[in-house]
Amino acid sequence: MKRPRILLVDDEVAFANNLLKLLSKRGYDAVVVYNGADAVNMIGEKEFDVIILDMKMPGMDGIATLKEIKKKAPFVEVVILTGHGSVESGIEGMQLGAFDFLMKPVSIDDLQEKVSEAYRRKLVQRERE
Amino acid sequence: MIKIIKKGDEETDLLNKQLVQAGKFASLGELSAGVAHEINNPLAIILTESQVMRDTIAEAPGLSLNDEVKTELIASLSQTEAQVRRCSLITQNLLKFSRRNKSQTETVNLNAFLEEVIRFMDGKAKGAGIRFALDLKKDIPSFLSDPSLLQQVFINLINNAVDAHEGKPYGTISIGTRTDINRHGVEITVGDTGSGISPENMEKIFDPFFTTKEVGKGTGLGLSITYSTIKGLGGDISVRSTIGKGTQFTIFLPFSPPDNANENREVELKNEKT
Repeated sequence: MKRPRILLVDDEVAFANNLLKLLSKRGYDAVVVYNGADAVNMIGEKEFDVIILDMKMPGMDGIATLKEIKKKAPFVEVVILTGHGSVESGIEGMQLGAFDFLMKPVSIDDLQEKVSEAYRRKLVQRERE
Repeated sequence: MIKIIKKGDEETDLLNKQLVQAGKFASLGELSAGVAHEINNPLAIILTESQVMRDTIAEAPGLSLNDEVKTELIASLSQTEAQVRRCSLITQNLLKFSRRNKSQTETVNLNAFLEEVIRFMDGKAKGAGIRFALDLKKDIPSFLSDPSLLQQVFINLINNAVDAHEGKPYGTISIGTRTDINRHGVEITVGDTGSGISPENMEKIFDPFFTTKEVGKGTGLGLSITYSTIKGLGGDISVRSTIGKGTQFTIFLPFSPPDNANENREVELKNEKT
């Protein structure tokens, strides 16, 4: 199975860069941006399979970014990462079309598993199209 | 007359203390949510840094480490990750304290519910040489409350009761229920034959972060969560204790939870930013 193309969106630069390193080392084609507006612009420029999206960001927050992403790329799968530990915000994101949510701190193994699940769903949906 | 005045003063004093306690919880609730969020982000960074180091040790070309050094580095990273998980548990507890999960009000058969909690805790109690003594009155009607919150409350209290027997070879945890017709609710007692609480600690036991347990064993949030949960359900909790003989918590729960209990939580959740 081809490795998914991933867009990481998180304003915590150190965290986002670490995830980028970890995912790249595991063979993923990953790109990082540090705010919601750049994420929306990036969606217009490049195609992604899975987006890892932080919820609390200055300016355009996770929910607003998710809405814009889904307008531009309805079939991209979004995995929400939240530092707040709030189940409700994750559920709100899922109601807006996110695949699932994980709470920070998250291990690379758990994240990888979730990304794989999201990617599999995207492939199944693409086959159905 | 003097007795009446003295009783009035005591009641005023008690009300003032409850008011101060409620105020503390309101402000600490907000603070805790903020602290939990701010801590989770650096914890996420620490965890990923540790994983980057693991990758580096495993794969970096030209990095020749002998087995002993490598083993030591991996052990240090494992310890770092274990401590991150420990801190993460603390932040989860902080969040539970500041904003309990959305209330699920449903019909509760209290006695059956308590028996279920006791079955869950029986293994831990038996392991510490402790038996349960139950006095559950049969006339208690089913009533509306939040079983998931109540479960947390009774697990906290029973855990504390078991811990209070440390150093004693055996003991008893007594759990009783009775209908309080006058207050239109139910009274539940959870007593133990443990070490008791000293008078100087008595006023602090519901304070967040107050614990007499050794470092790493308790976060000092269990009884704070218990207190705020019972208050949120429209109830009351009180405690009496004798050093060396044991402690008894008495909880009152109304047959109907307050109308605004869910509304208040909804507003809190809507205002919440993640």
